Amino acid sequence: MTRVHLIHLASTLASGLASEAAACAPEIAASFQEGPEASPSPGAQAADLVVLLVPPYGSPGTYDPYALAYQIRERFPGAPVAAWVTDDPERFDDHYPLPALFDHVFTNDANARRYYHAENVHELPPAAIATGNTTAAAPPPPEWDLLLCGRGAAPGDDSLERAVRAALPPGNRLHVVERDADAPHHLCRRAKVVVRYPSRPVGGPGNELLGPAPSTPDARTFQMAEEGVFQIVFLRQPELLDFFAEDEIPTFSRAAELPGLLSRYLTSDEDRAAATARAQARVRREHLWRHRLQTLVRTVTGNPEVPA
Amino acid sequence: MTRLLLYNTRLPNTNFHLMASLWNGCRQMPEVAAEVAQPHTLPLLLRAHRPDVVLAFGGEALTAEGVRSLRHASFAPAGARWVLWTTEDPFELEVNLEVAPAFDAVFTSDFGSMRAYEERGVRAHWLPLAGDEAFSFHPVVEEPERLLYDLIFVGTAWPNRVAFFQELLAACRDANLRTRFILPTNEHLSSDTLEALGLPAFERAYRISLSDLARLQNRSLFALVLFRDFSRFSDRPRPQTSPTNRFYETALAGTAQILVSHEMDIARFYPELQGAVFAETQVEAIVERVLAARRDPSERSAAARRAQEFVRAGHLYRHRLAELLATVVG
Repeated sequence: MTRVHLIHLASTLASGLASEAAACAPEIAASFQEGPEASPSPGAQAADLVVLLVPPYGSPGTYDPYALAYQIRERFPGAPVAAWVTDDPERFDDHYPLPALFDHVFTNDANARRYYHAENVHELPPAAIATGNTTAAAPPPPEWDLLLCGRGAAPGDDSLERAVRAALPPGNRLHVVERDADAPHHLCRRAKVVVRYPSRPVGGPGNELLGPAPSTPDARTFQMAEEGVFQIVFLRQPELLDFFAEDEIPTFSRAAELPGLLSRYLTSDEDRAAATARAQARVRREHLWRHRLQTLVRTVTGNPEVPA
Repeated sequence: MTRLLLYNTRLPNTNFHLMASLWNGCRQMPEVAAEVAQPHTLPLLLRAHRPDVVLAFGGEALTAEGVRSLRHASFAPAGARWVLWTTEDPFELEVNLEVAPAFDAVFTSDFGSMRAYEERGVRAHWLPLAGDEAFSFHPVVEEPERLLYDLIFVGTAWPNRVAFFQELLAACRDANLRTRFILPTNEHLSSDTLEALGLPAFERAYRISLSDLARLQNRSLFALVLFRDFSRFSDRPRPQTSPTNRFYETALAGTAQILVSHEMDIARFYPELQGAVFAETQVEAIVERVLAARRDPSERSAAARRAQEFVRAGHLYRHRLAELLATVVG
């Protein structure tokens, strides 16, 4: 058994991660602590591994990576300490010094990982929290046939919306959201088909110095698949194909591909349900946060008893 | 053991993947101990790493006076060799010519720029950029059903290229080719200008990572390769005169290259690549070559494999660093 102590600063991921970590028993025993100043939970002092869920810089609790690294090492002498980054490359400027401060750094983005130029940085892609939903359960009646998340390449551009409207078979109800990130999961669950245009920023505040572009799919992709949302994704980051097959999450690169895709998946309930079920099964098999925690522990400890 | 300090000369640096690739090259050289310095961490690392060689990579934002004062600072190791490897020649040649005399050795990635250094009394060595398997390597895709595209281009449609792209894309549409053209805009190239191409903005107007570029190229029959003669740093058109990093990276990505250039001849630099890179300057010939490969991809796949093997055997960053260090420290 590996005892893992996770420290976070008001992380929204922490509660979901707690339930996922519980599923890793008995190989992993996880304890959680909010803030480095709080009293650790019983047994935490004897952790085999300490993990800091790296918070956004400037978040409540004043994130200072140098102070955090020092405090954690003082409190857990001898235990390896890992920093777990979940918002690369958007905050890459802040995270760039982490490899010098921690024994290991895990980043959510494969392309950003290469920009750290350090041996102790590893990839740990985003994942989903298991909800227990199944596609067999009767879903609520769809409010829209198609939900378009992202109208175009940039604010003011509606080129994708125009292409989708031109490709949409008559009689289908369309709802449009300006940006992909503006469409929460519960909204996506109200559509038969969700077309997404990933629009994570390249460069910009927090990523101005070295500017790696994102390559790894975001957590939304995994969570929506887990919750049984059928999504068609613009192939902006082809690393998506490493995680999902085309018959799980179909992709498109050009407007010319939309008529065939929309016609097929809006018409055939069977094809849509089969793809949704395959994507969901894939996530539950390989892409839950529990799998990421197992990978992290295995990487640091080299313990082969932790499931792959 | 050579202690090497890789010095990124500019921040911000949107081409930092080149430095990351260089560092990856060092990792494959057990005889080299390397660290990476940014402009603000250079003094710290000069003191802590005690390098035998300081390699200023890029060249931008340096001044000769600044380099000399760093070399003679109390924290700088005495006896270190200071080396400049410029990556933006010929576009920033004037700046690099000014700073070059402050170094013990100078390398330029552009073959045609060597003469300008010589005229300033500086001996410059030609050291082209290279490829990095960590970013770019993918096995050549042979199965047609796994290919997503017939022709891909990812890069900047500099103003002088717009008419060419317009003609090419129209011909590709007529021939029903599956194309992927990603053409980010910049201050010299507005989105309005690119409207003339007939590509919806969502298909083309964004930046992608080098690793994603390689993945997309790998799933295409051919990648189009164009060379720059335009820079956002200069309004003087100057053609690149030797293969760029994109050439080596694309070869590693495992696709065949169609090279569009009136000036560049890859086989002049690498005779062994004769027939492994397809030079075409006419739109009709490009489309015909793609259509022929759709009918029979064997020549295309053989070319992709040859170019890839050629780069893996001798044109990775570790090969460049070995050459550089042999020149500088023997």
